[in-house]
Amino acid sequence: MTVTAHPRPSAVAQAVAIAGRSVRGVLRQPPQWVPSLVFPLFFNAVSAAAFDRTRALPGFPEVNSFLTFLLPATILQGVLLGATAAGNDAAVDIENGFFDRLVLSPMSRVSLLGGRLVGSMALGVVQVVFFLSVLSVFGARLENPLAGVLVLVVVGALLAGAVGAFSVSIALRTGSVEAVNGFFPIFFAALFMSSAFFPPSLSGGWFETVASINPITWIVDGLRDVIIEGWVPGAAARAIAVSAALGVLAIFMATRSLAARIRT
Amino acid sequence: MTAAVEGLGATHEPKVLASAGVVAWRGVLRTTRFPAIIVQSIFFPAFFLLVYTGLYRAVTELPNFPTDRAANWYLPFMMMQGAAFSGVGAGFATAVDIDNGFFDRLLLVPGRRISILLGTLGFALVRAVTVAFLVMILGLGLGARFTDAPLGLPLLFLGVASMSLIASCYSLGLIYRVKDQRVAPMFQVGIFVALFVSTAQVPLDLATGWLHDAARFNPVTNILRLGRQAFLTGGVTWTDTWGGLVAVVATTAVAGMWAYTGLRKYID
Repeated sequence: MTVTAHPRPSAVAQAVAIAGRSVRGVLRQPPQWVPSLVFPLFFNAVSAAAFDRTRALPGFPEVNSFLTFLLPATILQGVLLGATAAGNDAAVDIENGFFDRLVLSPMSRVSLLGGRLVGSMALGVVQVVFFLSVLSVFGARLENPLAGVLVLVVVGALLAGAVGAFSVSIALRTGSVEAVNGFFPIFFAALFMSSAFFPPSLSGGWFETVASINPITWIVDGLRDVIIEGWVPGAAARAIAVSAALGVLAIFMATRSLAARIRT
Repeated sequence: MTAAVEGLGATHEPKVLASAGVVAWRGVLRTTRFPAIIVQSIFFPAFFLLVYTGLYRAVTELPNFPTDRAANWYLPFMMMQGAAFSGVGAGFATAVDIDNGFFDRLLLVPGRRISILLGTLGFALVRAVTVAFLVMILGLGLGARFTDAPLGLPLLFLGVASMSLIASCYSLGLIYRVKDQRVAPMFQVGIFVALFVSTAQVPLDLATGWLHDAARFNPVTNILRLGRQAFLTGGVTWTDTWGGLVAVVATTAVAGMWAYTGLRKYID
């Protein structure tokens, strides 16, 4: 009798398998992804109709509609809402014991984390394309469509990865779906305390100060420059660099959390 | 034997209001045992009030904006939003009761079933008024100033109470019919849409496109107009009051019927 040893799949193949499982898990549960598509669109539609006249205020950026002005906010809102699904998924796996079985398998630790993040990023890209398609039908305009779409997709993917990594980190630390959802208001607050919905320079006061030190503002302003003015390398680089930096920080946190969970 | 049973009070059906009071008191006790519930109810309106007064300060510079303080415009809306989500909380609590079987045991208790509905509404009302009061204190701290407190304040709290009742009845009517906790997100979605497709963010004259048309026919617009008079230039006027009173009565009655018929369906 001979025992055939199956070759161990590469780390990339393992990560792809986990990413596929993560994406399928989200797709099978519409309550996890439908709000991340519908809610930002609804909020965009309401705010665009409510605040369109504010474009006449002195100092408001030259833009064809408030809908276009809100484009970065809509994308970021969707990505923030959607990417927390990665953390929820991880927490569910921990709660039902599947995560422990994954850890006991000969799977690479990098794939364990990387797979989920790739899944998050893939969903982020789908969201960006969806929002751009829908909003362009209603009048949103990119000055340089090619550059605009490219930068928005890259930033959407990076941010989805960052938020996904952060929520997975919380899941690994706490092992609780409730705790992951409990952290959601932090992302929400960060988005509202930024330039996403209105120019802070017009608001003035404490809000302008808070928004100016909020990294979300740096991303939004970069995206907005690319949307309104076309290919602005400095703005694009700023949006991408800040998103990537947040991603690196979140992945570092998630790696530490994974190590801590495996130790226990 | 009959005397003995009578002695136990078996032939006396408890009064509706007394039973409703017990149900409401249970809700209050549940809130005191889980303070996170009330903190959650306050967090969102308080946070949004803070953000909106900072973020949209410049909006008041638009021509014909009825106040020069963003806090004056947004405070009544945030109070009503807090009240509405407190009402939704009553739906959540009932969904949990239905899920764990407690609601069915409640139906077996002698007495009229409407007391369960009235008690739940009573509890939601207490919670809504508490939340609205706390948000109002925050709003005054953020710069909101009354322009007509003696007449406006009662109308504002009438609006708060009606928003709480409407939201409670809407979510209760839904959960009584569907009998499944998974419908709970629909409570928030329905209320969120009703609140925001109104003059929540800007006055009707400044809203454009579809929002302007939809907000005109949304009763929430009239209830907001009623409540906002306490803080707007010109104070309370009959023109801005009567529409709000009609909206309060009509919408509360319709929502009440939705909840009551839902309860009847559940029992049947």
